[in-house]
Amino acid sequence: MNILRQLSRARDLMSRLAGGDHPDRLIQKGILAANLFDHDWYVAQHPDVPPGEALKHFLRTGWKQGHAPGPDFDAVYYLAANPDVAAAGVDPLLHYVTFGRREGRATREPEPEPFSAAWLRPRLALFQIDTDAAQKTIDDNRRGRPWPRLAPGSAVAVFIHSGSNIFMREIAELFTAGLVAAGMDAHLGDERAVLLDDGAAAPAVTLSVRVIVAPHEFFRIATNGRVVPAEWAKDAILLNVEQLHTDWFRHGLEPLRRAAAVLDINLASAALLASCGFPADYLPLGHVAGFPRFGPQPTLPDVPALETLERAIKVACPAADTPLSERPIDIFFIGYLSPRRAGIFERMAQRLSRWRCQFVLTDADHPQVSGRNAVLESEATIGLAQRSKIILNFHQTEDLFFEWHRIVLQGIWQRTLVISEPLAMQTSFSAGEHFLEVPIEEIADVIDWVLGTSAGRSTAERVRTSAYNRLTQHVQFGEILRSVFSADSTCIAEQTTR
Amino acid sequence: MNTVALPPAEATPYEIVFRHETERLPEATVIVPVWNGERFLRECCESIRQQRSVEIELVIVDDNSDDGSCALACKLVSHWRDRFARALVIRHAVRAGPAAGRDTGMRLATTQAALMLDVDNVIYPQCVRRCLDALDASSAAFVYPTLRLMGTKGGLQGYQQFDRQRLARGNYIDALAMVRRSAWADVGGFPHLAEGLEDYAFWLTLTERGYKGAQIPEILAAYRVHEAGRTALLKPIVDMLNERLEQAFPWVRLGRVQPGGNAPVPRPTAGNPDLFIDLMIRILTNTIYEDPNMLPGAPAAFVSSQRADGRDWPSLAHTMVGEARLRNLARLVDLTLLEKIPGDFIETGVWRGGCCILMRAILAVRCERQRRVFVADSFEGLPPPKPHRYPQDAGDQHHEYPQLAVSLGDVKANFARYGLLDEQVVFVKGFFDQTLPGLNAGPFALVRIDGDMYESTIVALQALYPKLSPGGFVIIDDFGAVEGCRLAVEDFRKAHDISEPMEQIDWTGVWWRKPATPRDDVGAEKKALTPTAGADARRQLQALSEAFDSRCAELGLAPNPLAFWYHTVDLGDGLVTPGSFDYRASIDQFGFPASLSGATALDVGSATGFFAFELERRGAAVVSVELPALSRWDHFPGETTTGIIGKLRERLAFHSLRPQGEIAELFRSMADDELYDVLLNGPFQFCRDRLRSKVERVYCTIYELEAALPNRRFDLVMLGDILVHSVDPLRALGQAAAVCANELVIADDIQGDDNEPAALRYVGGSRAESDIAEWWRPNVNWYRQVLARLGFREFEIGHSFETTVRPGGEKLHKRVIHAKR
Repeated sequence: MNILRQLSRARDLMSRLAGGDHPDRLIQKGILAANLFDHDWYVAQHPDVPPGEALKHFLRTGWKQGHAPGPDFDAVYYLAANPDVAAAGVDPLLHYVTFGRREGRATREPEPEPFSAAWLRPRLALFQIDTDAAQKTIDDNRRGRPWPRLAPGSAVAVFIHSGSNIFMREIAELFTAGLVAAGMDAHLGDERAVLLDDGAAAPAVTLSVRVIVAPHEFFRIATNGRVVPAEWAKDAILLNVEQLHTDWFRHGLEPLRRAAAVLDINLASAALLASCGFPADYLPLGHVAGFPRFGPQPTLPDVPALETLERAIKVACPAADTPLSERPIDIFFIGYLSPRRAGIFERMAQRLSRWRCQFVLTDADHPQVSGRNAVLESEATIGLAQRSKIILNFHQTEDLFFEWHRIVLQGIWQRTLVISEPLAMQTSFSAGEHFLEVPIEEIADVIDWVLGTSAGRSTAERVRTSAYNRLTQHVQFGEILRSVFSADSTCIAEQTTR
Repeated sequence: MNTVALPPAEATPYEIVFRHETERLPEATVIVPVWNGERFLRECCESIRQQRSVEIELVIVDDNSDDGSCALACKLVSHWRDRFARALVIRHAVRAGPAAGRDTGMRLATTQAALMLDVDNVIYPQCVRRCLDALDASSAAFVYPTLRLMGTKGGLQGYQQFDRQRLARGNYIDALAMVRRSAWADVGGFPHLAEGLEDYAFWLTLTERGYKGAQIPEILAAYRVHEAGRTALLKPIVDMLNERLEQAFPWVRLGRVQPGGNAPVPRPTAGNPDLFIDLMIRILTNTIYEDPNMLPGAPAAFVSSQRADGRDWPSLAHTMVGEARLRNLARLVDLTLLEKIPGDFIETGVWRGGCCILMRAILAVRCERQRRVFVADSFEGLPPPKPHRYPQDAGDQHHEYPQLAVSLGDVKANFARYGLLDEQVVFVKGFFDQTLPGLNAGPFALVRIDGDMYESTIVALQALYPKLSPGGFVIIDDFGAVEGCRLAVEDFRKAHDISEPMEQIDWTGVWWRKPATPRDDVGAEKKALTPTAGADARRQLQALSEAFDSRCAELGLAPNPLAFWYHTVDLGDGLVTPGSFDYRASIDQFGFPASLSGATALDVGSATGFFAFELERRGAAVVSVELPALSRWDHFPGETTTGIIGKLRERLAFHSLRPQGEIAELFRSMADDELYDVLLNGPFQFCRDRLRSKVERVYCTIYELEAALPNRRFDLVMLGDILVHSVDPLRALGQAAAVCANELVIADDIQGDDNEPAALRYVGGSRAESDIAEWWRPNVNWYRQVLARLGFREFEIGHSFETTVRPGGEKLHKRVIHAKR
């Protein structure tokens, strides 16, 4: 109905044009009324047009040749978005100034909502494949900005929410241990130190330098019905460990806007935050010698999730440097069973069933909290990794990511071979050298080769050893943290690569 | 609470049709119950044959199949017998169900542990070995591996840990598990319950006895999903079975399905009615043909994410609420049916009707024939804001959008397009402040409010929330989109102390559930039941009643306090009856001659008598005709007047301004003749006395006019709102014509224009005793033709005019026909 009416109106218009008002005059009036003409832009687009003649040129000939009056009118978009106009065969600009404007039609693609998936994907894609571009964006953004400096011996209070995911908590602990290794006086606390009994938040000034790990949870999860206000992030350092495309992250933007610095364990995410003007830097995770959480776990606890695990496996932990063949579990995976992962496992199930697997799958995408609902505590997860030959990694969604936790902390650190689908780029480890990066459809073949052939087994030994050496010798968290907060820090990635 | 134990399993008679024994000692048993599973048997047995590193005892139990299952089982097992340490093929003498098959297998097994394997599933080569090791490693009574789903559904299943509390809320462990025979023997076998739930009942029985299960974190088998089978057939009796399980296991709570915001889209499965609902949603939102957006100021192109969230104004689709809110609606409607929340469904603000069509569609697919869907709208767009009364609506521009006005005819046509226009759909036409406060309907199981403004939202909440059943749902469509709507909801919730959390559907839609246990402040409930102060009609009636009562007291009159004043009649002396129908202001529209001096007039169906007394006032000698008794009320062939009289009682209670509970009881307890006096004769006689009127009274039905008034002809015969209640309008009109010497005046809801062919539209519905006895709506040309044939030559057809019914505020459309000989 709508379209028919449009068509007949377009025909009316054309017949009126034949005798009455000249299209040039319509365009002239319409363009000026709609304020669509951008002189400088037009001149830049058409260098042959003398600057003083630009408007005249456009009104006389330009529009007939299909030139746009300015960046705010996209004829291609206008026709695509308005099939009735396209069908009527009317010049899109002429249609807009005569009808479209009054009807409130859009003249160009509307901007997607910031941090929506549609907004993020093209922006992240560049940084995910080009680490140099990512690093340059971060450096350019940091240059000349105030940045928190931490002299050795500085007191640092690290915070993690008591209801945080167990993996976030591990990162917070590692971060604290890293600061101590870097010579700081760092301690880990939670939101209960902030939410005072009188209902107010503790004044930020009475505390030392504050680092908040996993702000998307810290400022969102309620404790006794209360949530830490976003204002509390003012002047603090926030360590983001959440993927940007999740709702969790999008809802956690407020505190980020107030922070003195935002660190992100994902290079592309850090670059994107930097490109949005956040005081952002990339913080790769690294090794802390003697960090107890990730040390040898000689016995595994008796918990429901390990109920069917043989006693012999529970009470004996192969030494980290003995060959993988002495590890009793072939393939280990722990994580949220997203629909995407369910599909991958479904397709691979029969192939993988010939190997001894340990797939600890959790049900919902809500925090697995230590001591509450976590299927496995850190010790059990790390202990299983130490008893496994291979750690598998699949992304939760179609979005590229580098799952630090699974790849580095559960995998490389435990000298377990990491086999993953293609990952987002980062600067600490290399595919083929430190882990195996394989398209999903080839993963089952690669597993059969690694576990079932001598060439595969020796490759596995080489990769997992060189990965571990890389981690312990070149990716030391204390060094990384010292450089990120030192007075003359410029580029963390360069220092970790050296 | 007394527990009602499930019956123990009884042994099913069987014969051994194949037996293979060896010297080897089996480590584990695999039990395969089969019923008509010939097509799956080979693949299943093949997967057992390929098991590695384990000595197997195989027991196949044929449950008296009609197909070749038994013969094929014998053939396969015989062929592969070397692979098994022991193998049996058993045939049940009668069909007894898969649980009985498992029990028979368990009785014949000789090992410590048996894997239950249904014939349509397959196990991977390590399965039996790994299950046996897992059982050895743990103290559990049964172990279950992660399953890969195949068939009509994909993904994984059974990966969650064993958890008694989780099990108490529903089964998540398939029968494909390895069970210790000692535990099986201890609990007396698989409980006998309807097919499909016996495995769940078995896990519950074991858990109840202190046993536990354990999960094996490996994918060891593939499980075939075909919901067309027993699980789907089970649906209608699921409530009953859940109740049975709750009786047997007091710690189990199955009744409540969690009303989720995020239940998955149904997967295509054979015979799955959810698919129909899914398709309805896709069609209603038209994500199929992707019609353009017509929201002013936005691009016209179809954008699927916009449509999913209901952010655009579809140019063709029948709803603009989008997919997310439709799915939410479907889930909540289903939930009211599942939980038997009593009542009908209503949406206020329907646009093209999509949400209501979906609700009607769900009722259809769930075979629900009692509940109705109320479709409330002005069908003329939104009202202009009334900023003096609702400042929150100041500046609201919704009424300026002609795109938001969809006519009643268009909405009806939309229902008809889906084949869903029938008597289970009720249209309520008019602006909400006029229609909703007096709406004679309820209770409701679900109220969906989509009024876009403060006024439309608050009026709907005030009128409908009190009629919402406990446990029913309120959905607010515009909470996030329209500030005024949000304020209305917040004001209402605050004023009524509603603390139930609001659940968010998408960027704008929210819903909450009325608590299942009604709060004890019944007073507040009652107060809320009476319509808002904004209901002018009710206020007017209130004022008239008060003035009437006080004037009666002053004049020393004592009319029956229960009298139903159908008409507002001015009786002089400042005494005016508080009628539901007030024609005082619109009397000129009826076109009576100013003077009837010397004329005779007949008023058929006088009720309180307004027209009879009016004709008398104009000088006519008037005869008033009334029914001789309520039992003579015209009724549908084959039915009785009982239903009509019952409805009358309800209606009388509703029209009364007195407290509803007790007044309803009073009207219910009245004898029919008492009711007749209160409703028809009493008020008329009261007026007649006061007016010292000479109106002659005749008692008969409209079909008996000629006989009751022998040889009498009247200059003017008045038929006001009577033909619609006549089952046989032609005969009724014939009788009226027979006693009419000159002029016939018909005042009714007369529709149609001069171009419409003569038609008599039936409005009585298809359910017995379903309405207040309205049968036919003839159009203008029907009257023209019929009256011409009855000998009338001149017609004068007045314009349509509106009167308001008190206290409900319904608009009544009226046209008056004058026909002269």
